[in-house]
Amino acid sequence: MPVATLESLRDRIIVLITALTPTSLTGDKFRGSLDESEADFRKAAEAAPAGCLRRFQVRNDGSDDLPAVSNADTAQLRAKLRILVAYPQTHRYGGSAGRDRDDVIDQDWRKINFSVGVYGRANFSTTHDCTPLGCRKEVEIGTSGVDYLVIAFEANYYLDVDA
Amino acid sequence: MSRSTSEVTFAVTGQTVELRVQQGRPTAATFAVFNDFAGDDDTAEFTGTATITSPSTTVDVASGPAETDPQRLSIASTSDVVVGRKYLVSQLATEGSKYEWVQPIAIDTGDFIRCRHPLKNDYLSASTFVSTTITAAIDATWVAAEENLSDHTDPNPSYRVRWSVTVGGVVYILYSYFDLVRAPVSYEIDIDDLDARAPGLHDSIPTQYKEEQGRPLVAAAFRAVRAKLAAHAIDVDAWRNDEIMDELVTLKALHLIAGGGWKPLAYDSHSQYVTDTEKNFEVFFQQHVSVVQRSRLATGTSGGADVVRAQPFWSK
Repeated sequence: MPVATLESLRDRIIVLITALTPTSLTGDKFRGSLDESEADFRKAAEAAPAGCLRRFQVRNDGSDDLPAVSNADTAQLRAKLRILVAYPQTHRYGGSAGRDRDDVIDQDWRKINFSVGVYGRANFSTTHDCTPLGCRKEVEIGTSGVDYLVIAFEANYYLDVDA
Repeated sequence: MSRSTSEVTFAVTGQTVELRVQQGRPTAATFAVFNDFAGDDDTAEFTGTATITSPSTTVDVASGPAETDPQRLSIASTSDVVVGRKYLVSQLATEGSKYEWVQPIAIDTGDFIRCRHPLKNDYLSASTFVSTTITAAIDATWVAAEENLSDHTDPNPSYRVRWSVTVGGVVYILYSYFDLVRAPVSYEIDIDDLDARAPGLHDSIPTQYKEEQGRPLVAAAFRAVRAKLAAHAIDVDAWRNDEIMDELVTLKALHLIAGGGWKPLAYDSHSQYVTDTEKNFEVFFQQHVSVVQRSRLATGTSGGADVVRAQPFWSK
């Protein structure tokens, strides 16, 4: 049975999102956060808003739960990862300014959800095998020059309990 | 970009000076070069017919904010398009005749250019994309005559180009300026040098400058330093200390980038970082230029430096 880890799922999601071609502003691809310093994504984005367009972070939310099932070799667990994507409040989205930014965020959400959400099962196998249960979307309208697309990713996966 | 005094290099043939005509693409243009102390009715140093640079082409696929990539401008031919130069793209009369200046940051040969900023207007197929830049060839004999070298003690340009330009059937008279120098003074700063002063900058450079690694920002800083030196009556080409010049450009670049909203993570406040970078530049400038002139300057036309003794402000 293929087993995965939170680390391998996180890294797979970063690969999948980085490979996406956005629906609009196609020249500005998604770029993973380096997570340096405090790995405080919002702090880093708001320190350099002009450079954070489609910069994103994927992190484990830190929670863990009892296994749904286990045979003492593997355990079925629930992965909960949070995806944050930054959108500076600039002119680059189109003539309708903030409304166009909302549209770009929504387009990006659909792309990401299709790739890693409930429709993305085929994108996870071998060391990152999992069953994506779906993603939930929120948008945070920032007060420091940056809006955020916040995606809550959940998946079931098997973990080698002794690895 | 804003204009700087052009620098023509002494005894090098095949050089040109250029002018971007704001009125549109000329159909004809001539030029006459004068010593700036001479009048337009005096004898010119040399004259000629200006070259109207290519391209003059059309949009071949609808481009603009209504398209998926609003930075993409599809044109029939990318020949002679130069990254960093500005071009005029104009709508058809049936679209409203709106126009805007665009600056390519990347060229997909034969297909399209990517502009620094998203297009602000939509352009249908057959809209025009033209260069309005004209150039004047520097006379090969004139450029090699030592008596024509510019005077470094005067920060103002030595020569005036009087352009006679026809746009849309209307004749416009325009001026531009240049110096003839032994060697133009420049800088050798790139984003790595700035990142070494502000770690993290390279990774978070503003989106519109990332393809060029922020080179236009550094170039803007150099123009600002030139202007600052000119304010102190110093001709930038008289400057004879690379290290100090690069430090000035570095400090000014950090200040400009700070003003654009970038700050190191260690700072809580953008405004404090703007203030600090401004202060760093000004203090350094005072230490090396405005209070005492520590760096050597060339005051003659030989190219050699002249010792400038550090002197108190009141004796300068």
